[in-house]
Amino acid sequence: MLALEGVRGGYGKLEILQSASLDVPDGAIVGIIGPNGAGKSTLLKTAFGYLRPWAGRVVLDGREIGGRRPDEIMRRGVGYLAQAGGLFAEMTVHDNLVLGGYTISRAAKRRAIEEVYARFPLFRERRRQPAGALSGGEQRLLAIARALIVKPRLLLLDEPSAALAPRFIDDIYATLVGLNRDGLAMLIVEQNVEAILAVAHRVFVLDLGRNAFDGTPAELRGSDRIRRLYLGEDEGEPA
Amino acid sequence: MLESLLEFLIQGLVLGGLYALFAVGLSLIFGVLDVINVAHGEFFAIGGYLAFAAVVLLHLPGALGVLGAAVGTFLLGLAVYPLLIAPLKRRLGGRPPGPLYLVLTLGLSTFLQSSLLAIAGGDYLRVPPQVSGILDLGVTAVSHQRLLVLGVAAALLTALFAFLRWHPQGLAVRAVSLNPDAAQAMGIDLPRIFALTLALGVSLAGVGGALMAPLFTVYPAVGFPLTIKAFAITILGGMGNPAGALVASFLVSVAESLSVMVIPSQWQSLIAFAVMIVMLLIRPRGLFGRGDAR
Repeated sequence: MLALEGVRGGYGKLEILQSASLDVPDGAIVGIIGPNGAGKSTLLKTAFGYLRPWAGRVVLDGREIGGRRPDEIMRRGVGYLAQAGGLFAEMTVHDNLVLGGYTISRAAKRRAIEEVYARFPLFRERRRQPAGALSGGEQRLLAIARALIVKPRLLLLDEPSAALAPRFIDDIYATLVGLNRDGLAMLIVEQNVEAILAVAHRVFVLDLGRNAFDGTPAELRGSDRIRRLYLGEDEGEPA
Repeated sequence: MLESLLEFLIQGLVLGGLYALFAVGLSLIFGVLDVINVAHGEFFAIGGYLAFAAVVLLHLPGALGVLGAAVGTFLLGLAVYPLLIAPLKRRLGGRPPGPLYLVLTLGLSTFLQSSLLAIAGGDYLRVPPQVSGILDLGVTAVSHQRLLVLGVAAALLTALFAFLRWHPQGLAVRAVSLNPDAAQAMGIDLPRIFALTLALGVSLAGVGGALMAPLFTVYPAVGFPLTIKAFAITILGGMGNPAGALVASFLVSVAESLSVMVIPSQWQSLIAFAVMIVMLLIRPRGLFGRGDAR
């Protein structure tokens, strides 16, 4: 579905991605982990068009999308969740959902928002409140719900568990797994290694802007070198 | 004393309508594009010239002059983003524009003023009022033309705020002003919203120019002093906050009007700038500025 092939890129003249490659098959959850500054978020931003790749290819459904604007990529069925959720905090919960359906017809938007309210009754109760008044976990759920309004085929998530209490992390990941069962593919950048290893079908480890590992969570747990270097475990310690 | 107070209050409110038409557009453009449009006053002047052309040269009704000014300045405004701002943005890449947008719109201001001078000459042109007559309020009298300015300003600004509150494109404009990256993730086409916002903002100034043409005279630099005053108003209201600019327009206009009761009238126009300087010193974000104002 989505493939990055030898992508180089960064901010201004600062090169972050030196040659990163990965692919997200239809319906899969793919995780990206790695140390701080490895280029995980940069990779996600490059895949979604916030950053233009300096070299390499970004391919969606067989078509090159590198250098396309985020709104164009979004219209091809890709959703993006920024690290902090990317909500419009001063706007109401309802207006955030309405904006989530910006690209679809009024009738389809109304139906989709009703589905969100049926699934998350809290959002119906608090529809007139500013999104910024919700708790951190609720905001993250609202951001996910908003991204689903247009029924994307692929969701890119930048650290969905960041700055959340453990019980909210469980809620978020339970929601994501449920959505994946319905066929939604995901590419998730995550610092919370245990959370992503529990749900991902495939994991990429990124280090200094390059691929350092590519395999299943079981394979990653089985690699002493990767565990030692990137999971902070002592050699030989059980995963 | 009370009669004078009421008289100056009413005059201030009427003036506030003009300030609001001008400053709300300027503030909207800053909030969404992060561009201080120094050329805003030239669109006010173009509105006046379009009204002159419609009413004096083509002998059309005054209402059509105002409509022509709105449409003409809107179309001109639509061209500003793709022709000027977007190319500069592309050249800059991810680098911050610094003062470049300010210099760019200053250049546009000079270009438009020079163009108006070349096309229409430097004469002070008079436009007949769209409505005639005077309303006697007892304590004071207000010309129907001034009331028309206030009425049209109220109607247009109500329509603008309703658009921003309820229309999908208006919500998109607000979304872009709050978080352009997140707005793009919603599928919002930023260049389209930037062009639309600029066009809406300058067309408000254009309508102001057409409505005020019968009260002032029309000449190429007629809008420039208003631009400077609108900077003071938008700083008072909070840069990039159109609702703040609306409130600040009336605060400044009423303060200017009432000040005549206690200070000589030649000091009147300094009120706005004194307020701006004090505001910058004690509360740089303005009365209603957002914490994350861009």
